[in-house]
Amino acid sequence: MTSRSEALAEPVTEGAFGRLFVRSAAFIALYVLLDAAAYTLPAAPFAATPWNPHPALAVVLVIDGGIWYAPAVFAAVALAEVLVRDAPGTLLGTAIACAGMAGAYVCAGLAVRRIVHVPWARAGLRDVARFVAVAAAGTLVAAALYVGGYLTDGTLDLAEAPRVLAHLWIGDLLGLAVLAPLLMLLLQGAWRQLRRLDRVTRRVAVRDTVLLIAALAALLVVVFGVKPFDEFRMSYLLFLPMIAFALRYGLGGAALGLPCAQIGFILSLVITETLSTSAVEFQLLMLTLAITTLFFGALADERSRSVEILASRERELRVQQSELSHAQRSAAAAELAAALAHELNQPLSAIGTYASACRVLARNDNDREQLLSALERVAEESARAGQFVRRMRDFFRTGAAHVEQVEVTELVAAARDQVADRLARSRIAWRESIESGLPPLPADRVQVGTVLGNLLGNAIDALASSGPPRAIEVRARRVGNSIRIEVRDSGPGVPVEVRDRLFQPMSTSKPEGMGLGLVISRTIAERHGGRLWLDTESHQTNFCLELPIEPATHEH
Amino acid sequence: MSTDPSQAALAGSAVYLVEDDRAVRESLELLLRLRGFMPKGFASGEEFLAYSALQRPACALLDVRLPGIDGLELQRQLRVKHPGLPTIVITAHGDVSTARTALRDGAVDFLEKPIDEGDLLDAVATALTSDQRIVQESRDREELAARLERLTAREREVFERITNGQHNREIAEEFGISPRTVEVHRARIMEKLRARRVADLFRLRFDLERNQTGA
Repeated sequence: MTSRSEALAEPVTEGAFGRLFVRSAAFIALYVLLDAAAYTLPAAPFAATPWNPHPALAVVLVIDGGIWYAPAVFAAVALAEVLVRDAPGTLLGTAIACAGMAGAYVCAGLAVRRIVHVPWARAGLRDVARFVAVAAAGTLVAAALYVGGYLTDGTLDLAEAPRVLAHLWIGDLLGLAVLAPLLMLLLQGAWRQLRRLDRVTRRVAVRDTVLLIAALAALLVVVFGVKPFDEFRMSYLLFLPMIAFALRYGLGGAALGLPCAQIGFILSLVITETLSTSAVEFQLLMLTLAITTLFFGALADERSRSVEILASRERELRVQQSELSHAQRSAAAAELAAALAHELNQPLSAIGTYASACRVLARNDNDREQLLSALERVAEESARAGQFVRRMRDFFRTGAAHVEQVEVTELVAAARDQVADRLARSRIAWRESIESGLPPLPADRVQVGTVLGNLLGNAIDALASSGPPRAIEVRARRVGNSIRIEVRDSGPGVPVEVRDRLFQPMSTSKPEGMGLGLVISRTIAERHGGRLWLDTESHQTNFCLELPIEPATHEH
Repeated sequence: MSTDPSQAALAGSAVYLVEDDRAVRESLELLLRLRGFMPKGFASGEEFLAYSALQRPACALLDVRLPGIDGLELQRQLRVKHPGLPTIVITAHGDVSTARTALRDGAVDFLEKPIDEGDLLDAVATALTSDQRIVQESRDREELAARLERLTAREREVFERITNGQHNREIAEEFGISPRTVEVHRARIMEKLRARRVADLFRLRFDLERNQTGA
């Protein structure tokens, strides 16, 4: 319920009292007018009317305003009975009939107020079902009490009672189903929501409404005017434009379309004078159309709401993911920075200490020899720091990948050239087995070359401490949609306790080594959509680099 | 605190240095040697633990990040192998938790790389001074124990009674000997323990008990 109706449900204050009065009076007038308008069609007092729009007015008033409007409903029902139908029964019978009917309307309104908790613009399938159930029950009770009232004073014949009851019930229910949704939407400010729409959307909505009316009119002309079969055979065609409109515009569309269809239908019946003969068929058809359309409308609303929720969840998820990946990146950057600081700290520390020593040595001429040697070491350490910086720059310069099709044999050959001198100097045998017919890899030649060079450098370092025969073996083969390149050395293998932290930036088991190599190598492998790992099955050191033949899909 | 070991009478003290980076290790060795210490470098904790010719007073400079057992673990093992050896821990870059752990485990100080010469010499001087005291105390303890060893069983009993505050006559009555004999025991005890006055005996008893409970 809207805040406005909540306010009216509260004990009435002075200002609200005036409004209650004005609205009650307006309602009574409108109710009597609508009743009169609907009643112009039949002739006899208890003859069937095609639909009764006025009960919808009463029920919606109570739904919106609460119990405070009960007196107005009683007054309106009584007044209409006197003015429109000349109060056909005795005073007591009329009183029972009117009080029963009005009471049932009020109860129906209060029941809807209780069990439908959302504004109609956001009503779901369940809300519509509850409304239809309450409307059916309420109008049945209203019709039964009305008929019962006139049975007590004999105004109505008992034999006539079932027919009158059925007509009245279905007529009231039809009125409620067709008119109440639109009235509730209007009272709850749906009109304002419509005005908030942008121009294009509004224009499309107006165009579609005109199209709906035109389609309804055309179909009615075909059904009632051309009459290929008798009048009702083709009426089901009306379902098509109504359902289409409801699916497009939801409950609001259904609420707007239904009165249009209803009016068009009645006009057709009046014009072709088929009304008296087939009132019940018409009512049932229209009722089915109304309920079906309302359900379709609610269904469409629920669907678009779910789509919206899903979309917003997905947006949230995407934001979270991007935050997460940012956090991971900054964590990696922090690790990298810590490792960089550490690697630079070693030569810096040595330089500082040598400089301090030189200060001592410089005071004494006898220490010239030692001073020179210490200065020599300062230069060496400075060169070591410089070399490290250069290596880092090489890694980072390759940040933007230039992916091209590269032959594996070329990659391996280039990596071998990088370390050829060291291989010769350390008398390390080179073995190579590359599967023939390997497809080219989509890869950054420099980056992958860096990875292979790093793995080879590690292997040579590892072999430095092991006796001959020393050998490095590079193998390449296809594994599924990837190419796996393995670098194996004949050294003692990676100690178990080192394996776990091998790929952490701070780990290095080499005195002058650079603990970053494997970390960056793994990053490069992953950037290519591939992997880099240490084969723990092997008792020798065997690093595996696996790169996909299809280009990497994700960018970092 | 003096940064000149010759003034602090620390010259020639051994400084053990465990650092895997050769340049860092050798530069520190050079500087410490020039400052009058006797540095000895090791490339790993295992190497240092295997070293058997350790001399005291000394101190140990331990790099935290080492191949094999790291500096903190080495520090723990040293407490068992060389009790009291003062350690100075070298961290790569202001690692607060590492420093805290090192200090909690008994490190004298911790140094950050790049190492400032003044900080280094201060820390080494503090550590060596501390070890000198430790070595001196343990020497005193050993000497005292050796002196006590020279007492006979009866002399030891009489020493205990005297330092309990009992008079010669009470002691004589307890053991059923003449006060004169107690006098003789007392003179022998004073001589063996190199005590000039009775008050020295009380101090010795005090030191003895402190050593027994403290060591």
